[in-house]
Amino acid sequence: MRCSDELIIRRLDGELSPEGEEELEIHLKGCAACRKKASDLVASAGILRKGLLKDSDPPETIWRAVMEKTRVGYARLRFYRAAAAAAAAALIISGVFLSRSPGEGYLSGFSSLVFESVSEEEWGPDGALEGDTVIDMFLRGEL
Amino acid sequence: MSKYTEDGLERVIISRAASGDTGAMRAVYDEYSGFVWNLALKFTGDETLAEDAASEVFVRLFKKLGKFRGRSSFRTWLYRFTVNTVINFVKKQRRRNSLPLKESAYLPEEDAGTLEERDLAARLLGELGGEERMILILREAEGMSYSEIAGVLGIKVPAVKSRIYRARMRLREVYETVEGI
Ligand SMILES: [Zn+2]
Repeated sequence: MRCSDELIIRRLDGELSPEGEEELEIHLKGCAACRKKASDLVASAGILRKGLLKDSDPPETIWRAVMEKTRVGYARLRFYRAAAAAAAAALIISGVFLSRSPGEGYLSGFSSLVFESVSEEEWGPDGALEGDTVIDMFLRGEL
Repeated sequence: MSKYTEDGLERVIISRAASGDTGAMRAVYDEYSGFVWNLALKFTGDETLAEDAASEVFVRLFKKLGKFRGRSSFRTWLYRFTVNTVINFVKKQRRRNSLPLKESAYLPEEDAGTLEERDLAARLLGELGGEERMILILREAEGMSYSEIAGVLGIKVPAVKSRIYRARMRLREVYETVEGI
């Protein structure tokens, strides 16, 4: 048989049939290059196995961070919904009072701004969950 | 449909967590935070970064939980979600802070091999690309079979084989350079 990296790796993953194993063994006896490759593959995989062996318990700070961000997210969603409802109502009112100059009033500008925020997937773009906005601070009662 | 998902978590817990019930969210967290944390830690090699990545996973998870349709096992679905979120999170961080991942700490556990072994594992992993690193962690550290990895990555078994093949060959190259010094 000819040199085969694939057989060497399949053996490493325990995926080689006994016949394949035997065939590879015979090849390795006569091929120094493949022998070196095989032993380096085994050694490098062994280093990962040993070096990454132990698991540890997750720190509780993860849960706290999740709760913090999730609460702000839900509160922001409620805020957007309320704002959207108010804007929709305002739009109707502005439609009544400003019907002669459509799109000119500041209310239509405001409503499109709010609807834009709501139309992002559930809570706005992922980036919006990071960092503080004035709304976040307001919702946490810091303003 | 069974009351339980394949891995024993009650479906009603998942749907309650999806609607923002804190107790149910905590139950999901208790079940899976070990996996999420250890995967993030092994992938980043840095505790602070791993904490941020793990909380990103759960924040996004609770947002998207309503999209779980029960077609695959919840565990597989969550593992895939975790793998993608952690890889993307680290990419984003690196773009933002030009994080020197190659020199990252990788100092998890006292008895996870000797210091040299851990150090060497860190150096080898640090030289790999994100996808290569992840697939080898799933295989060597999590001990997943090819078909489990296929489920988690959402690709076919032959594709898993060829990716593992490339990752192993790359790891060997890195090993030979490190060893040669
Ligand atoms: Zn050969």
